Amino acid sequence: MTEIENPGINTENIEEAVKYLGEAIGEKWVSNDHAVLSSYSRDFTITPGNWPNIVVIPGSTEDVQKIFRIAYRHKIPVVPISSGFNHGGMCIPRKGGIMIDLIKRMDRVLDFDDETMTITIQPGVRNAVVAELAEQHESIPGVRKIIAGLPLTMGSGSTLSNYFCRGGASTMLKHGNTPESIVSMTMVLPDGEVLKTGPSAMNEKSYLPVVSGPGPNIAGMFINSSGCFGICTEMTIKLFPEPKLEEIQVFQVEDEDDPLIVEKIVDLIYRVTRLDICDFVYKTHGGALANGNPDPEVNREDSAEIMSEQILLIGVSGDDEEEIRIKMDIVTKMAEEAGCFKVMLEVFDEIFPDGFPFRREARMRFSAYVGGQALGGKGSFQWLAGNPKLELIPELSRGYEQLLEKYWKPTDPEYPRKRTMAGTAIQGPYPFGRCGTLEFDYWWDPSNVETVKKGTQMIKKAANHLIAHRVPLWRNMYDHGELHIPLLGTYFDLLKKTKTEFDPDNLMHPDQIPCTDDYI
Amino acid sequence: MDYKAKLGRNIKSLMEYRNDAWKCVRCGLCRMGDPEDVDGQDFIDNCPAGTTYGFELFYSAGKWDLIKCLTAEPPEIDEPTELMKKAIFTCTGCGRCQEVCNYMKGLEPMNAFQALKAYAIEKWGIKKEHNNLVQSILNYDNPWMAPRRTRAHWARKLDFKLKDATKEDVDILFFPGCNASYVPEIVPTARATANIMRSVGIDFGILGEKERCCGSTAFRCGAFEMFEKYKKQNIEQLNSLGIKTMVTACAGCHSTFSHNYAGDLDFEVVHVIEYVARLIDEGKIEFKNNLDMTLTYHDPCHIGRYGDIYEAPRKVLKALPGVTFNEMKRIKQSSMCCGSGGGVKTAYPEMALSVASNRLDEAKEAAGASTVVSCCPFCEINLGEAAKARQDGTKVVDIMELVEQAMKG
Repeated sequence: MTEIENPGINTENIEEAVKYLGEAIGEKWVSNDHAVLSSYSRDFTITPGNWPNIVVIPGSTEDVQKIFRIAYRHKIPVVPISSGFNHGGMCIPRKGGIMIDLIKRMDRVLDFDDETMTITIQPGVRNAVVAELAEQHESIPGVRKIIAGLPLTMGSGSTLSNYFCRGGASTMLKHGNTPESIVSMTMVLPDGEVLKTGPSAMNEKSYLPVVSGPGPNIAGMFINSSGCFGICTEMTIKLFPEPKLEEIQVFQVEDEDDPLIVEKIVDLIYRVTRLDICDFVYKTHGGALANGNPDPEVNREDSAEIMSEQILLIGVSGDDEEEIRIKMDIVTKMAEEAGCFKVMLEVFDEIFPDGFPFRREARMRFSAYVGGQALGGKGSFQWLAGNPKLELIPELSRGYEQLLEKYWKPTDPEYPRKRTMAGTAIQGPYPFGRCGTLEFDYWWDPSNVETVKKGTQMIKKAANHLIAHRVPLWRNMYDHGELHIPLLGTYFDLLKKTKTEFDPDNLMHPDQIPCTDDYI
Repeated sequence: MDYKAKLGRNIKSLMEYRNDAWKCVRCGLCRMGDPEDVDGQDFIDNCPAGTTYGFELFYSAGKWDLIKCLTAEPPEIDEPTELMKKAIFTCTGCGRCQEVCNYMKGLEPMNAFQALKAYAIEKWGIKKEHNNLVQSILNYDNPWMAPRRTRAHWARKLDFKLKDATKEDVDILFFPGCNASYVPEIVPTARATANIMRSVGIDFGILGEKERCCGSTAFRCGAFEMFEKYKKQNIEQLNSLGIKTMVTACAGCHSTFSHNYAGDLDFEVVHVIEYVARLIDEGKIEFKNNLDMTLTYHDPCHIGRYGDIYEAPRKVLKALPGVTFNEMKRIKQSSMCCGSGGGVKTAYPEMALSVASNRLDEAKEAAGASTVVSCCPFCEINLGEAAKARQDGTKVVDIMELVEQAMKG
């Protein structure tokens, strides 16, 4: 555990800040107890931990405003956290300071608007709650229920944070990425002022489901800023009509040793996504599916052995079985043309007696991907993703395989390759297959010092591997942000200027995003 | 994989949980009800200590972090802080976190937190309030500092004489436990149970003054050493009786005898609710009285998650004439603890009452019931106190009392 010296923090001003914070939001919700701080010092990624100096649990936007004003007066950094389950060390207080825990008390659904099909939530509202509420509604009675295009994370994850941090959505192919569904936000700015974005800027109660507010859309500056420009305390997001029926089909390449296995799968992705008939297209690993199996009675290692390492899942939906059948026939024909074949779902019956895990109910509970992996395997999980053009994916995947050979294998030779899920996955390409989200995944044992060391090296190399191909990284990683300064030019200059204007003392989640010169 | 069977059993030393602590990914599923059963935003949180105090340290993930700190070399925390002790000893041992985490990831958070309690006792001493409980068990064979000779006083008001199982041969031993023997609000449960068993012609006995605490309270507080010593004496006494079945009125006794004495006892241990459900199935119980009430059922952790006894109480309640039975939101595996277990009621009564009051809110708002029924004396004492404090007409009743009432002509 590294403790970074922060010139703005000393015992005296921390004690003073604790006193003022207690007066402002209630003593019960403020602590600088060492043990309390310890539980906000790490996450499950390879990001080195660091301790905050104070933890506060606000109950409202007004509380957050008060906290910011006190933090600014005392020049103490502020770091937000909601569920704390993330892939990028996003809630590690790198320079100490005040950790604002948003999950506990700010957990209200503020509005559910049937007419505009939007929901307004606080950061503590979990995906399971949003999903359940949405499904209880029908925009027009007798027509279709509503669903949330939830991020691909677990039911316990914070919906607001996932949208704010650009989590990939389960409906990405159909409706775009999560930020594209953000209608408005309530942001508390570093000086404690409140800014409403989107339609709410003009009328607090306007949930008009268009993304832009009046004039230029300044909301974009906050999205994925990890709290560097302020904290989002309320968010209105779009919901979608739920298809009456959905079907999922699994495809794989005949020969597992086929050197063109990734090319064939990417070819199939190209074809089917451009048809505009699929809900999602998702390339994953057999091991990943096995890890994510919610059934404890099933031996995950055995089931990993049965499945192919490279699997493509394609989901379609429709109003009746005939529509589903026609769509699936078209997809299957294309798969055959691309050198892939359809795996009969009955094969999975034994492995997944409670239902195939990519079905909607299971997606909700275990998440299609992240949750299952993180829960099912041996330890922790490090993730790295970027948005390359599909045609780059085979080359990038091969590069990652080489890194795995070099770094993963020597540290964990006993662990079956298929269950490590160390490898690549392609999350649903954006509409019409223009771009995919490539994931490099590494399953590691965080209690093993050697694994951590090797894993850290490998992830850094993998990040460099993507950056070398000018692939924008998706999430700020330790030491390798998506804001890779040398490649950004004017973008970085403007960001730096804005940050300086907003937060001259660099107190808002300092060093989370490298938008200052003194980035560590 | 029998993930249930591990609950509260074979607790290892804290150091042996070190690697597991690093495997928690802070997914947060352990702190909430089953996502599939979530219905709205209320009553989703399911960790009693976390719900009360809010800081991550009080939830599973925070306690895993604490274990990382304490087992690091050198330890990252040397001296215990007040909040740290509070976080360690406010774990009620309800087992919800382990129910989820062991199923999903194979970890045993609740067992690890029991080990954390034992570690804290070894390093920094036992809490005064818990020490009183433990000393009372050692000195009086019950945690309430009540004299041994009054243990069987509950039976005085029965209109028949109970057999003394230490002197007469019986197949069935009724074991009311310390609460039903001594706590005035719970004593009617013991009497109701005895009346029910007698009225259907069951030949049973009790240990009377010789009945001794099962040791559950000491174990849940983390006083493992004392518990093991005490357990040995209990095993000798109970096995010498030659009984075939022990019927417990207490969920805590039931889980302790079934889990922590597992393999050492020569007879089956049955909770009274299972026993009565069996009698209903066999057609031995006849109900004559219409109760005319709306109620809900609170699953006690020690027969629910620990014992997998979910259907028997529901079957009994549904069999009672004139009862409208509504479920709360957090039920069965996802049931919310009453907040009393693990020595919390004794050391942190304000937390126990706050959690209980939240549970009563749920009964009222989600189930529309002002009568909460259970079959664990610890839950009933705690929920009952919370109900009294609310002064809103909420009642807490043991199922056995309702069964007895419904059987009366």
